[in-house]
Amino acid sequence: MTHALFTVVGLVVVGGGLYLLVRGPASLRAGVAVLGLVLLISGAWYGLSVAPPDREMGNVQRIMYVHVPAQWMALMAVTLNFFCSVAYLFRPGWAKDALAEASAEVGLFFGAVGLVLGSIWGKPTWGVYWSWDPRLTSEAILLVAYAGYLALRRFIDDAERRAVWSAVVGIIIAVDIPIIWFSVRWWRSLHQMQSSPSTVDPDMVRALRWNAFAFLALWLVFLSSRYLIARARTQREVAPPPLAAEVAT
Amino acid sequence: MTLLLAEAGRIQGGWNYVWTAYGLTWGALALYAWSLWLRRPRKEP
Repeated sequence: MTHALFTVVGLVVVGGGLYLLVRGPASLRAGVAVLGLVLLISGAWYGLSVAPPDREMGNVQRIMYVHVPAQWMALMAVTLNFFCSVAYLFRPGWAKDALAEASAEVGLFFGAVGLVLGSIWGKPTWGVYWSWDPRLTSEAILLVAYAGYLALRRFIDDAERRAVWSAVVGIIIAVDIPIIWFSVRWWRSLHQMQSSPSTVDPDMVRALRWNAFAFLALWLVFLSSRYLIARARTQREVAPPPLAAEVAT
Repeated sequence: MTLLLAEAGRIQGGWNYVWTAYGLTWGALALYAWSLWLRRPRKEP
């Protein structure tokens, strides 16, 4: 019940925040960006100096305070891409297409950062930077797929065809999302399973959540900014500005 | 010895990995923010 309540409140906050950032003035985005920066700096201080070292991993565990939020943001973005793709096919609209493009790029960015951070953590913990573990492999497949998705969007000149094709590809790629999430439970391989706040030090939970909120603020700013870029491009394509000669007459 | 391990962790040191990870995160976030700034829509003259 509590989980469901948190999910609903979270969705309202994220959805409402995104709506306000897209519709609101640039100063609002700048304000949230500053908030994200302050949270990021203070979160780093908390994670690096206040939170205790892990019993097994020592100080290396502190990488989790940036690795995990980066992966959460990536999964949120690609899930949003899936919903935008489905929504577009049911009822086409340029806003949905622009949000799909924005979420794909932001998801690829956070996913790539998260993967590299996980790799840095893997070297002292597992002894290797990379392993063909199901979690890592499915995540790598997702990133390659989204790189392809963005490349596809660049190759197709016709805006309507681009929106339909990328919506279909977005839905196909989304099959990988539950595989990534459940891979650690289904295959029980090298990558650890999701941990519970009840089994770790409260300072560790605080450091993780602090950084997660910092990443969430930046995620909202990045997504809304990228949405506006995509929207402006589509508007130029669909309704090109009049020629200078036309304006003169 | 056991107490020391419990305080510092089984993996000793590792701060170079931690700083590399945090530095990379900050750098990547800054670069992406900059790329969005460069691509921002401008009003037609």
